[in-house]
Amino acid sequence: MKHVRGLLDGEARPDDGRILDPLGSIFVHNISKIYESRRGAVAALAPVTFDVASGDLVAIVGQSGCGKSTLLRMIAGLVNPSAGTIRIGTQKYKGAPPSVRYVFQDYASSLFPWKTVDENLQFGIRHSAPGAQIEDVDAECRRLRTLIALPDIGQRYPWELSGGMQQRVAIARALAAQPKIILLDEAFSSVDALSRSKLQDMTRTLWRQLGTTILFVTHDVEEAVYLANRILVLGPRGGGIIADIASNLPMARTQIETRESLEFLAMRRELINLIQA
Amino acid sequence: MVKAMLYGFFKTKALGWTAIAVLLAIWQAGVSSGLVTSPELPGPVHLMDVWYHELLDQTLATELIKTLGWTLSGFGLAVIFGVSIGIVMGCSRIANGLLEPFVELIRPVPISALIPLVILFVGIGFKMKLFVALLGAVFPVLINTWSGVRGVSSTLRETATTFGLNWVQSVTQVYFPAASPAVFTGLRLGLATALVITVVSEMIAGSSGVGFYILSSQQSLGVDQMYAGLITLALVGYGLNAIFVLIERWTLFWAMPDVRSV
Repeated sequence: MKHVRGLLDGEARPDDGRILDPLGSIFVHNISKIYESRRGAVAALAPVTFDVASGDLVAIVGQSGCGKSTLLRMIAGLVNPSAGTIRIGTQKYKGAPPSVRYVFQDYASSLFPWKTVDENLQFGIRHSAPGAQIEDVDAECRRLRTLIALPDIGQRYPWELSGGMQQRVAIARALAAQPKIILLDEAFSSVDALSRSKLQDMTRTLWRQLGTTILFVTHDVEEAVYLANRILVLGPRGGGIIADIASNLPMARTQIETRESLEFLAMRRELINLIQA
Repeated sequence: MVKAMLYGFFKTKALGWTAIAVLLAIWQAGVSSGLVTSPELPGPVHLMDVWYHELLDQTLATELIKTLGWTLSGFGLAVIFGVSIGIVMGCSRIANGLLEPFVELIRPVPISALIPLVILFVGIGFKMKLFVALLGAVFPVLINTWSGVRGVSSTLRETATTFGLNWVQSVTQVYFPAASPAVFTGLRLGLATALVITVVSEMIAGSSGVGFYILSSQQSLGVDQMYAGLITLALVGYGLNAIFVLIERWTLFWAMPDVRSV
């Protein structure tokens, strides 16, 4: 396994410098998934071991069928691992860890169409992570809408919004629960290119403001390089982690300058070579 | 403008209502002109007059109240049983495996064929009518609820899981609202079936209700009254459905493509 750099040290910290919650760290130890079918056992993911520090922003990339979504779903408690352990903070969980929220690729099926945007956000607030402190629900909804730069859509229904706007609401609903960790599963791949860029920038801005640990899965190498501080590369056909690369891009990133920088292009080339090898 | 109005006319129910009005007018013209003289087919104007008076002097109204009472009571019980069993079957594989053979075995049997069996156990009183209406309504409600809950997308189910909802919270806050358009279809079908089966039971083994009124009128050569009973059933069925449509547009607008596209 290629290990360029381990856990990021001082870099992956929110702007306000507050102490990060230990519940925001993820420890994955020898976790694997084997699906039993009529034709026999199919290995969806070979044993993988890695840690994610609290407050980090980490991407998992790999070809289709490499097991990246399976890995994320196991951390979220949506799929039971065949072997290995996952700890969130110091605890092991069976089922969904309470301090973790998940954003799905299919935003249209994830948001509740019978609830307005504010009611969707209130759902997130009502089912918040342990330790969340929310006193004024209406004010919190306003704050969340402002965070996603959609301040005036509280009374609209999800189906009245564009795809990109719906995904922003889905992210806001996940944030409404004040989780320590957010998992994004190909969360930007079902929206148009412009919305996708906006969502990427919004995600980085929110991460820098809030300090929430973000672990995301993408098939888009450029998205991984642009967004993440650290990238885990999975080998084909469930082959496990083949590289763990720390980003050398600056903290402040812009769609044009960052993507044109030599560091960005070098990382992109390195990742493509790794994935296609 | 004219083209748009014509297009609107042909696209809406106005076309159907006009066709009905034309048919009634032809029927009335046939009777008034003496072309139709059969005593089995009085004119629609005369029938509406009879219907109005039968309703006013409370003969028909009393029977209607009884029929509606049995229908709605049986339907109410069917909603309680159908929705709760449908939800349990939709959520639990074990419950589904246990109950599906029962449902699939009883469902194809015409409920009217079960009336003699019900009479055998509970007699011909109100219990029979209540039970028969319940049997008529419960399967459409149950099966639609069941398929509605089973059809809740995996993303929505997993959303409930990732937000840490327990079973009761998942059912009440996610599965049931998501399945409610299908549940509502079941309620509509169930109520219509309950009305039909109540009328059939009144005809087979009743001594009151609109079904009994229609059959006894026909047997005592009261053709006008028989038609009055039929008009009542048509209007009640239409009215109940219209109420359901209104409630549906009010509460389930989010699931209606024509509303969503506005």
